[in-house]
Amino acid sequence: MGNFRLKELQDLTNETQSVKQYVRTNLLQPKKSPRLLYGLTITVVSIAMILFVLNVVNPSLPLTNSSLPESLVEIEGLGGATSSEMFGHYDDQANRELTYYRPVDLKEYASSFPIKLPETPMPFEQYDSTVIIVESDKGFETQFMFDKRDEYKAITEFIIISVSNTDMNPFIGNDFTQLKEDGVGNPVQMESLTESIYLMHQIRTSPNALAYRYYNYDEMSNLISVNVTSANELYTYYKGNIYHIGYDVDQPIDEVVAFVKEFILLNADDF
Amino acid sequence: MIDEDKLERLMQLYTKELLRVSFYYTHNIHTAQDIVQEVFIKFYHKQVVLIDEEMKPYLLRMVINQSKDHLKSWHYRKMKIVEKMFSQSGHDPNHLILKEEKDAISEAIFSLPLKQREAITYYYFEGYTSKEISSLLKVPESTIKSRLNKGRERLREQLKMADWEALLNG
Repeated sequence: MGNFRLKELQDLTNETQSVKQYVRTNLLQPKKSPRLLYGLTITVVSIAMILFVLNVVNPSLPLTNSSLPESLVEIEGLGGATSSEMFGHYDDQANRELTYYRPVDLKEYASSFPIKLPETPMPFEQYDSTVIIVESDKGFETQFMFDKRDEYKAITEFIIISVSNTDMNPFIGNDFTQLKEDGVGNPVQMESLTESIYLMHQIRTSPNALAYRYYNYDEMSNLISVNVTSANELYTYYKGNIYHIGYDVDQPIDEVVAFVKEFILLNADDF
Repeated sequence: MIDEDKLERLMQLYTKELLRVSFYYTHNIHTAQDIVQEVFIKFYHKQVVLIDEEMKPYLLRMVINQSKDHLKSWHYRKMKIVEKMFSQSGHDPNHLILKEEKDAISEAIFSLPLKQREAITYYYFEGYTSKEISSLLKVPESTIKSRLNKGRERLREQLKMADWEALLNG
């Protein structure tokens, strides 16, 4: 296989040379002047505003991303993307424009995607999870939500793992190793994922907490929204994805950390 | 760490394949060229930490994303509108002859819906297995197989050649 070439692709010698030459010439071009940058910023903001207005007027633009699982059903969201309050400045996750899909349970998800689940900490059951997928121009974000609810359907216990495709590694150029506190007095410690990759772990010990954001689906309205609560949080970048995890402070920390690490290492190549 | 020598080696190894992949989406070799060169520059400046085996898939993902972004862009839509206007503006007496001279497969391939087109082109032109396509596009292998089947059916209908598949396989 692979012998056939479309007519236009039979000889790419010139194009290949042009690409190389362009890259060599433009690789180290000086950055644009602040004046130009200012102009560009104004233009981009104006275009973003126009697009925002257009999107409000006609919110159902056609999807073209071919990586979209065919079984997923697009639904409306109240807007907004989740991000870590502590690391959000470094990963640009908060600024994504999203398409939201109706949640599926983990069993259904597992029938279409390779997913390997380590043993879940008590009281969560291994496949008792809801999966919410959202899509941006960076790819997909998949949120695995293990939760227990009371008779009013309010969440009482939870572990939420979010895996977000990204082309931006927030650990490059930013040294988080010196972080000891999260800004409101809670300790931050590093948990090793591999020899060179760390999970940043915010453990809530004070009455104060940074906001932890996650996606929530409301069946009545058939809408996805971004909810805010407080949680212990884990955060890292590994193999093209940002992992952001939140869990309620009553969960056994060691068990959750072990579960999260195993979850990441088992599945990192499949997201 | 990506230095200039490393980038040079990556360009040596992957430029042609990246150009082809971008072309499968954009159907325009100049656009594909623009996308691939910008991807290399972006990749160099990002300095993403990757092991060697991860570099090609990462570059491919960047090219695919950029190419899909292009398809969504106003520039592309405007270009398609202009093409449509010109194609309707006059009757070309040589139309049928030109049509015969065109590469029938190319025309059939680019008339496929995007999802079927990418499965077909990766499989037949790049020699990827359905498993590799599934991994690259992050879509289940069963979905890729179904897209391949649907794509083949459409091609068979359009090309009306008994041995079209043999032709695709070279």
